[in-house]
Amino acid sequence: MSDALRTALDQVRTREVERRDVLRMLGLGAAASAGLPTLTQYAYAQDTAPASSVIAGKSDDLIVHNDRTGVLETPLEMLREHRITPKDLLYIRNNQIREPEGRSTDGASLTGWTIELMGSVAFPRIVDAATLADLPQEEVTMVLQCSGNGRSFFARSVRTRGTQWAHGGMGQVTFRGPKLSALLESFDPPVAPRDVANFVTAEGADQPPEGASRPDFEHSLPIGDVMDGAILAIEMNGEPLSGAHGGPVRLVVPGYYGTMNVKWLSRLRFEAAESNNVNQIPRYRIPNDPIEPGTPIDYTHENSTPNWRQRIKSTIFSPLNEAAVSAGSVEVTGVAWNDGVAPLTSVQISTDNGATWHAAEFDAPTGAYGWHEFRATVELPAGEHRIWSRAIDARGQAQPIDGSILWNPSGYEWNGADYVDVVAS
Amino acid sequence: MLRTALRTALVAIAFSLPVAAFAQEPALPDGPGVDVVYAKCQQCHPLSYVTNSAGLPDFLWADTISLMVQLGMQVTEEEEEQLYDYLTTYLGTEPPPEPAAQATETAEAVDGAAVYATNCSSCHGADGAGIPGAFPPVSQHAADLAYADRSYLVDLMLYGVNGAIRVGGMTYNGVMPAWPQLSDAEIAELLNFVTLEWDEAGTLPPNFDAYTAEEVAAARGQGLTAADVLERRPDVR
Repeated sequence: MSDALRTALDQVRTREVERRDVLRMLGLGAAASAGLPTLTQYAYAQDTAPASSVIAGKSDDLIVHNDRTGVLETPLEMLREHRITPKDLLYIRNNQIREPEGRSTDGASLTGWTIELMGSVAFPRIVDAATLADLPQEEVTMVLQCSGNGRSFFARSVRTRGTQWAHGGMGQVTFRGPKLSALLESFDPPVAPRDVANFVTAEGADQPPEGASRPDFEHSLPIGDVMDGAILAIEMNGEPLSGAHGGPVRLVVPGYYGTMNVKWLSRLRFEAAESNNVNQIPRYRIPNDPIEPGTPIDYTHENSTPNWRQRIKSTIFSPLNEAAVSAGSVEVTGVAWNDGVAPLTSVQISTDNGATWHAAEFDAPTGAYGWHEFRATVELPAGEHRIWSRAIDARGQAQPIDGSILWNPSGYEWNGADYVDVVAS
Repeated sequence: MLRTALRTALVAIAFSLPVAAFAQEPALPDGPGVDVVYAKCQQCHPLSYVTNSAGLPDFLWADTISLMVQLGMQVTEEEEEQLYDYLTTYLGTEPPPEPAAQATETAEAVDGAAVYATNCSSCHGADGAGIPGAFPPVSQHAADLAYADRSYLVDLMLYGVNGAIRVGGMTYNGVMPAWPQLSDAEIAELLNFVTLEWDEAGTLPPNFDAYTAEEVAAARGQGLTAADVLERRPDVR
């Protein structure tokens, strides 16, 4: 290891860099340094097996966070090349995997797969997954994003545990399959949720790693959003849904974080209360009221909310962080999105640390849940610059300048205004 | 390999650092309980998940361990405590110094700065600046003396000095006691500290040999007096 790198890593480890970053964010610090927070994503990606050996068909350009169950991040350099993220580049985050389907980007077979519909419903059913293709199909283009995406940026205040994602725990994909509500009604008599059912708990047929007895992976979602929007996806990007991304059947709730879109769907339980499974509580939750970075919270169902609807967010695709650009007019591009409930009203760019913001142009997305591509031109004299982006929607929700105000011990749902540091010459 | 080439390009663009630098397996600092971390924490995720969490507050380590138990980690109560002690000590908010530095200290067994602080600082000051007219400065002056005659400082420590000297345009007419009770290693490391650490002017050449315990041992038994040492004093400032 070179001395320069060791010093850099030491700085990251001792949080000098983050501290400096925070100062800079407040406009108190010295001008741009090496942009070191992003260093970590590469620094630890290299001690693991290549992505294609973790999941067949994945590009070896992906950053491998976890080579056991498969946690793969798409570098921005690749993500920005595609309006629809191809399956070989799409991120993966598995708590545990299903063998053998999960190890391949090939389409998984619907034959023999069943999904149990049970709980507080009249006329529970076991569904033969092969029949899903016979129902009317719904198609949705949407941002699929890990709720931990951007977690590494919380280290600007206090480091949080877990996969240190940068920007690439996300992609835009097109899922296709019947709506869950259509499936329930397709039976005679229909599978009818009872009034007491407030939640739908989805179970995945993943398998715990050998030697570890783990609880099954499951999540509870509010029944309203599930009945309104959920589809049982059997295709992604025009192909049979791959095992790697949850095929043959994945629960897809547009606008929700990736984790709620349960892979290898095997059972849907209609229930009065949220599950107490570890993946529902304390995992995958954020406090309802902000807490001081670095302080604990004892999660209850009442004081916290699961990683359901995605927070409003923008990501700068160009220029890349640490890029060298020509002084003068510089084009800034990227994407912005939210949970699809309200339209975006504005994407804004700042080159003076938020003192002034300038509207970027942005395109309509493919459907309510897709991302908006934005672009703006900024004038940069020679020197070091920080370019910021933030999105605002019709509800008035906006990205915070300091994303750490939403600090939580597991680093979920980062949505701080994005920035890149560039040098113009 | 394409992968390596692409990574090289990416990393080079981003940081202008060689990709080879990233190819190391993360290593944990050595310490009690490290074996438990190695044994328990790699079943479901790479060690990088541990090393990249360096700096977590204690409560978050406790919380993480309990979560991992919920997620299937098999540990005894004792192992759980060992994990907690190790992680909060070595990957907590205030980790001990680098293992390399510790190893060096262990090898030398003596910390010259500590010897100075204990025995010398009450007269010459914590920063070696001395007290003008009463106690001469050590800072820079020791380096100047060592450069002129490296054996002088050893003799000074073993036999003391008595009489008028001039340092930095100021006269000091006092007695410095001898310090033969210090061990050879303590004197050697003390001299290394005051000469090498306090050489702002860079008087000593980069190839200046550090004082050794052997060198000090060899200077004992000369039977010098404090007045003799004054005679040997180099003509410095």
